[in-house]
Amino acid sequence: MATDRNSNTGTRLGILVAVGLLLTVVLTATAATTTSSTASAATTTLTPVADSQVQEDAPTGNFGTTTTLRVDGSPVSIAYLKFDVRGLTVAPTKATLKVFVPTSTTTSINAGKVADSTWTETGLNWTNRPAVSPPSIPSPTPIAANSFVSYDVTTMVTGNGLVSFAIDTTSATSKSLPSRENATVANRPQLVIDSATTTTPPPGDPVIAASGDVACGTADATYNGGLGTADACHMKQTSDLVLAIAPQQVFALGDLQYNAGAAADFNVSYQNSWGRFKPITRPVVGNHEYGTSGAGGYFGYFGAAATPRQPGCVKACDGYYSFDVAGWHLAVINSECGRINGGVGCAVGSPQQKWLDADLAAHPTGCTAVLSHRPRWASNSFASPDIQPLVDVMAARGVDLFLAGHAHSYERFAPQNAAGQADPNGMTEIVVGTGGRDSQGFGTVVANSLVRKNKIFGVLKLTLHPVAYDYSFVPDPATPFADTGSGTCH
Amino acid sequence: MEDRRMTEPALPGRRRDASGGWGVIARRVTPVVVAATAAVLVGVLPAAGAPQAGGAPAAPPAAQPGSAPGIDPAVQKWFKDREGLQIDLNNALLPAQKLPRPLAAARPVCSRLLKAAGVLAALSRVPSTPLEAPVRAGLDTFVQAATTCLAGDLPQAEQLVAQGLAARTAVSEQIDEILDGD
Repeated sequence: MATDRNSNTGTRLGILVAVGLLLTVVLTATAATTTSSTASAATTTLTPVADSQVQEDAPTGNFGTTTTLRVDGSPVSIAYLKFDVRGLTVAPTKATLKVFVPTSTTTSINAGKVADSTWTETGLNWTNRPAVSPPSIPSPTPIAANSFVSYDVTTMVTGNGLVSFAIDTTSATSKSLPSRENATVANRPQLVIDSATTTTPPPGDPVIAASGDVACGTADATYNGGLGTADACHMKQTSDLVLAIAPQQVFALGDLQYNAGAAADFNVSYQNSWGRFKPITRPVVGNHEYGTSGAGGYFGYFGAAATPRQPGCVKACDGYYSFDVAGWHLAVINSECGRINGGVGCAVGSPQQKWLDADLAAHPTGCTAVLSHRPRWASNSFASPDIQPLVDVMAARGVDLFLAGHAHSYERFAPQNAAGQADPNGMTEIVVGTGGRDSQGFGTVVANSLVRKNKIFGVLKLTLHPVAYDYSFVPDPATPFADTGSGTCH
Repeated sequence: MEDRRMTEPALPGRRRDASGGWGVIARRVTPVVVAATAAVLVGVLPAAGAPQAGGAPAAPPAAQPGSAPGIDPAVQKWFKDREGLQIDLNNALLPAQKLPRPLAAARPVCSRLLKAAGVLAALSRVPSTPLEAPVRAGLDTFVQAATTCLAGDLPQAEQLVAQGLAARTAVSEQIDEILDGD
């Protein structure tokens, strides 16, 4: 039975929580610099949030959308790269800029820092190019074809924020370097940051961070280089919250990459935000993932993590699976019922329904949770009746916690039975669609809805105890809100 | 403006009718089918408790102006009222994908489908004009599938079930986007 310890939606408490969060971050940073036992090395690989080239012979030309970046000594052509560094609590121990060079050369290719990062990918040209701060870092020579050149830019990356570099050469033979738009993802420019920002999870029960409805597409008008606007595209900010939580696992509750789950967007927008937790992420497929045929972008990006029951599947996969965490059993369902099993993927007798029943029956553990994209209950029209046969199974098998997204808001329900009636032995549904995309509102408040809040961004922090759980909504400081409590398994 | 269109390719073999619905199959429904469906619905609707059912769909209740359909209480109520019927339809469709043989074994499956699809098809109009066509996608085809089955053509009935499901899936993105207010 869930116990609500605090459901204040007021600004005052939200500010207190935000201050508390900041204090936590500060304390974490202090600990990281004074004792190595509380921190471990973390490596983050960033791809540019913008890149382009400027050409002396095309003073007003812009090349921001090209798939290669030309560097040349005559006429001069310079490549510009911009990265968005986030989540650092101390200066990185090492920062390495890596660019791929497809053709061999005996002349150095140089990297320099650009102090002004206000340039835009589609506005940069030779005339308005920002200055390069000396000295530049020369590459070793010769450079072999199809190799990465690495530059130690540690002194140029001093903290969070935008950082820009310029790449040039004195060679009169131009070189075309893959840009961030290049089809070969592995060859795009990279900024690799080694840091000591990942605190070791505290001893004891595992901590989880969960949310859905996360990353805007790079073509979204509010993408803004991955930083979003006041009311949209906060994926970077919410991923920073996850970083501060330092969870053991991340539950990504679907609609992870807007607008259509494209592989190219996953590899930039999601990768540069929540992709930092990819190795510990348990993904859930959402409706927007199916904007790409067979959710191929999603299944390709997450690979085996999304298809443990179907090794090697990268398109039109089932999308449901289960796993265990410290005595808890967790099942991930595919709530896009129309996308599997010929369009009735959740009906009574469907493969997914039979699998869920057998899976839960085989794991009569003390605590059980189900992760879904669509909720069964919501105080708007975003609830899904299609998943009712799965909810019937969940209720019959004693599921304790049901996490979902889809509605871009936060809503927590009292424990309910399959019919949506209050039941102290029922499941507690928590809708956490606040991962960054944007906000949606509420219509008529439905039965057993205890806490609701929209126009917020944030993640749900869960601590999984052997026979209970704690939950706490961790807000983006820009949208303060608190909901904290605990529940017991039955 | 943000481009929120999705890239799922259109399903082959179907085209929209003038109202935006998937009307290809519906136009093939014979008077016999219509009569059979009507006869079933007369017996079914009161028991199903379908609001404002029967004859032409009733005028929708007033929607709140200016709000996204997904947070409009009138739209929410409309979806809530049909939840049980939608669940029934899904559960009726699953066994209809591969009908048991012989016909005598298939009849209960098809009767169940005819009832479930027929009730939904006769429901009141959704109080959001853009949603009206997509929420009805496939329903006429399911009715035709059921009547085709009851007439003895099981392979054709299975094909119609698949077509109806594909039509329904094809508009699911559209429904989500309309609810989002896009």
